[in-house]
Amino acid sequence: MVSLLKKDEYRYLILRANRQGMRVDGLVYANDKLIRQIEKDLTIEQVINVATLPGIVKYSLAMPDAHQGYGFAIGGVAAMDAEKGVVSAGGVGFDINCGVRLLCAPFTAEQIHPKLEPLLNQLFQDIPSGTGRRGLLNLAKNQLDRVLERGAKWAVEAGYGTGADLSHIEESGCILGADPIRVSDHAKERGKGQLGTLGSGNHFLEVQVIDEIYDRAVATVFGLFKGNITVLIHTGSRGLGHQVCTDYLDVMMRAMPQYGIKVVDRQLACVPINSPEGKNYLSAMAAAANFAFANRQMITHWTRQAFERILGNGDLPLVYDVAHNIAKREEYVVNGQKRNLLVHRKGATRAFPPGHPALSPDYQQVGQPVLIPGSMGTYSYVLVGTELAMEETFGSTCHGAGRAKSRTAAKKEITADQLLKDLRQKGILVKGASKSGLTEEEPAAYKDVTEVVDVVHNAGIARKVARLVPIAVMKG
Amino acid sequence: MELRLLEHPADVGIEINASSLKEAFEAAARGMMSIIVEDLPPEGTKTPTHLIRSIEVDGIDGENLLVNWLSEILYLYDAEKLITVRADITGFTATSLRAMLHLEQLDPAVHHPRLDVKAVTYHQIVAEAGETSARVRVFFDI
Repeated sequence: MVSLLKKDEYRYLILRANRQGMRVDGLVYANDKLIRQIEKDLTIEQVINVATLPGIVKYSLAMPDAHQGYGFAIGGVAAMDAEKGVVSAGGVGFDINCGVRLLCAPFTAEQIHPKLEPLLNQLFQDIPSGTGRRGLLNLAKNQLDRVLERGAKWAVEAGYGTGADLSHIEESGCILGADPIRVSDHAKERGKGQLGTLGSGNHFLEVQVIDEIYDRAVATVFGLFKGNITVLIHTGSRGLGHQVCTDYLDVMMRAMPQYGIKVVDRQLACVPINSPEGKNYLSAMAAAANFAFANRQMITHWTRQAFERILGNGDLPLVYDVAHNIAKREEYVVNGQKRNLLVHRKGATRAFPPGHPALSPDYQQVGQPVLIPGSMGTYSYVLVGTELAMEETFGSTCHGAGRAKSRTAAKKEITADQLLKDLRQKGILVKGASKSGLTEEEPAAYKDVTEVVDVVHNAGIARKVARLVPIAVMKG
Repeated sequence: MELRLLEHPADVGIEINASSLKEAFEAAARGMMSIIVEDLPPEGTKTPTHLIRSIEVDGIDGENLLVNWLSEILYLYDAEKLITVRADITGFTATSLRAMLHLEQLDPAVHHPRLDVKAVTYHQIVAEAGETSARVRVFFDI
């Protein structure tokens, strides 16, 4: 039995003494209610397992939205020493650079309301979504390679969006070091017809109203005003990223014995960061992450076109775009010393404070926008990064509500027709490619996003800026 | 052969009890496809677009082989829109297999794709065989 040590109202420690092989303590951010939910599945066990990985620094972390994943918990953060540590493909996950981006629209809720249904229909028509749907492009191999090298920069150069978008994307929408040669033909075949598609499962596009502002000064810098419309897009690197992870799990599993690495869960397969396999994975991961940035950039372009067609104005500035499944080389002060680390964020969001050199000049004074999507019928939040996150969580915070129920349990509870009716009564239009897919994503299948966000806000690892409420949802 | 759906907080798994590992691997292929496509066509389905393709897969052990086998079938669906309706394994060792896949081209007018399976995972994976029975368990990332 693992004993959790309550450090304060929002922090639970899992001491190294709990399990032989733990190299660092575990630290879980949660309140009394969320920790009970987290304890129900294998999350704590997975936080412990991650704490056994070679080169892990300071803590194996879990955010308040954490739930059981594969190898790593979803909502997990682990930083490895860049010289002596390992990289784990499972520590990034299958949906490399799954992430969210937020646009703000030049409309109020009242202005958009009469045209909401045609707008949702137009978005649904213009943006391919759902399983089995191909994208509108079929890229030649050399074009796909450019996408993998240049990410959102490729998309802007190809006419999808503007140069101004790029400075509001993590890494300006292009992670350096991406090498298409390290991406298998299988991954490229899966990806080439899927660029510019939303996908299925928990991916969505939402039209929202800003219904609460918590920090007016920061919200103004982000372009967020009470009563205005926003659009939140949640998708990732599609089949290309899924295949990159599958391929490198296999590579890492076969290579581990030569480095003398043993893991307690095969899904944690890992290799030294500076090994040939580790370097190749990071080049392929960067390529897949760039595919995801390009994917969200193209969907942004079609969203703007749909607004233009239905409402006569498609000028929707990009607030921000963040990855929540990624491994990044970043510098932190640990025990008074500057360290180069590889930070794995598996269902966690980067949350950099004011003045961080990685931020665009637009956000230097206030800090990085942190986007936290909720479930279909509930709120989403915009937060801002803090200095405390740099000290405690390697510049990371939560990424969403986090699932509370399995897909089968969710499906048993409500029919798709009832769910649509309930949401309509709450003023939310929903259009989904698959009815059963919809019920699996019903709001009650998730934790209370407000509670999750309050924990990170009160713990100080991000600060609330605005709350968004959905009025139209497009589900894959 | 007996197939059971398993729950996971975000995802779905299958567990199969069969008389041999070969039979369990064959059933796992259909099990995964039935998660992706609602009302998966019966094993004997042969429409004009029916294809048969042979594949070979290897692994360092049974679990790795199971993941690689299902990943290849998933690849055919995701990249080529080919639905495996039947899998006949013609050669099977502890670390490799050869199979003939019976495939239907995805037709949105006929088939109803339900969920994208992103990948096959090693989470709580089992691929074990006794003298007269075998069991596989595998979870999919949705």
